[in-house]
Amino acid sequence: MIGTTHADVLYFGRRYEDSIETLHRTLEIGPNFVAAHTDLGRAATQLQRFDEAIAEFRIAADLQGIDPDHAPGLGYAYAAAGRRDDALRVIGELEARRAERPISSHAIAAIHLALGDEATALDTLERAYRERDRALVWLKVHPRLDLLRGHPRFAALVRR
Amino acid sequence: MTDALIADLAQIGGLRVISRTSAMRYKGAGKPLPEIARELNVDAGGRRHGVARRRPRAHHRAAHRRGDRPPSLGAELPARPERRAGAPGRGGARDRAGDPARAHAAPARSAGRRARHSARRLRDLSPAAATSGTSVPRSTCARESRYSSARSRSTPTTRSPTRDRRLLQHPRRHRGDALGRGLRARQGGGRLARSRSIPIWPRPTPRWPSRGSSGCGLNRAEETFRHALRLNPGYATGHQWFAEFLASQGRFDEATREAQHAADLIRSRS
Repeated sequence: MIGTTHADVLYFGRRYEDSIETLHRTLEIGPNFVAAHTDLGRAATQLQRFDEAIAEFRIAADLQGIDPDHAPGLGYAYAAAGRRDDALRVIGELEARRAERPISSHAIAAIHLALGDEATALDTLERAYRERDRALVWLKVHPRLDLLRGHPRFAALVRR
Repeated sequence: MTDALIADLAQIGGLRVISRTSAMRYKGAGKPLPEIARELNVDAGGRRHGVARRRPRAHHRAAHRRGDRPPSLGAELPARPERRAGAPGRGGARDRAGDPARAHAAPARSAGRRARHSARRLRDLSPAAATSGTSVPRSTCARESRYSSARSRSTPTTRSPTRDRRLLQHPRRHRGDALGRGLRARQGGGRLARSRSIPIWPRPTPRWPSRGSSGCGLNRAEETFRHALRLNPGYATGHQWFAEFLASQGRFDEATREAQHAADLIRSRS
């Protein structure tokens, strides 16, 4: 747990390699720690090691007992890897499942952004704000939202 | 329940209440009541649990012989002004009963009732009341003791402010009555407070950090984290959460230090 916190700090500080190293150490202690696998997947995505990232997200989904298409991180990895159809499929699944279980609108917005749809991403972030999505605490520093920095709507959202 | 009962009885000015420690010595002792009364130097009126009617003072006894009302039963209360004959009353039950003599009688409030009233009033008082002359709800007092006293206070009630202020500013004048005892107890100096039969007030609350410039926002969160970690520097989870907080604010160097510190703490324990 502490290991993933340290990895989070490194990830948000854009030190992806260090984050991955920390997570590997964490996984040596607990190989079935889901959060470590998802964190590993997202750090690998930022390093554009998409195969590795997708593999990690699938492991995490298996450990959780959910369909991999219900993993927002996987959707983001698909979008970043240019697999648009897969990414849109994941978005569709996530939107359909929102009534059943809490799914972060912030994560869906990141997928839209990776697909190049800024307006939809901002709309979804607005929805996340309305829903009081706790992932918004990372709004200032989240690497997945870097493309939106400098956008007036995004700046207004951060101010709020 | 015993403590609560003793505390309530002690609020009555006409009674002398023996401490719980003294009273409990006789629990299950099987001694006859007169003997217990002799040992405790109280009247053997069949009263139990350390409660005895206070022996009237000399000037009370003298007043009684003269047929006056003793001070403890309200003789010191100011008499109501005489109502002009034929003037309408306030419509109270006594007036409606058509008995003008009773309608104009001074309120014969019993000592116990007065004590209970005073205790209720004391509970509602705060240090702020002593300076502002107003009574403030206790919940507001708690907040004010934690935060800066310079904060604007919530709208106070104005229930008999003069008497409340006098009581809190001059506790010595009320040394002998129920108000004074209640006040001392709440200030931690009384016998009742030492016996922990009623909570000491003001309570020793921890000093919370003052609010940051952005009110209850991020500054407050950071101050609270730091305060918590000052109180318990070995709290690994606290360091972990603080690291996440700092990272969310883009302060990655500090966040890394906190996270490493949390990890070190965990390692040192295992």
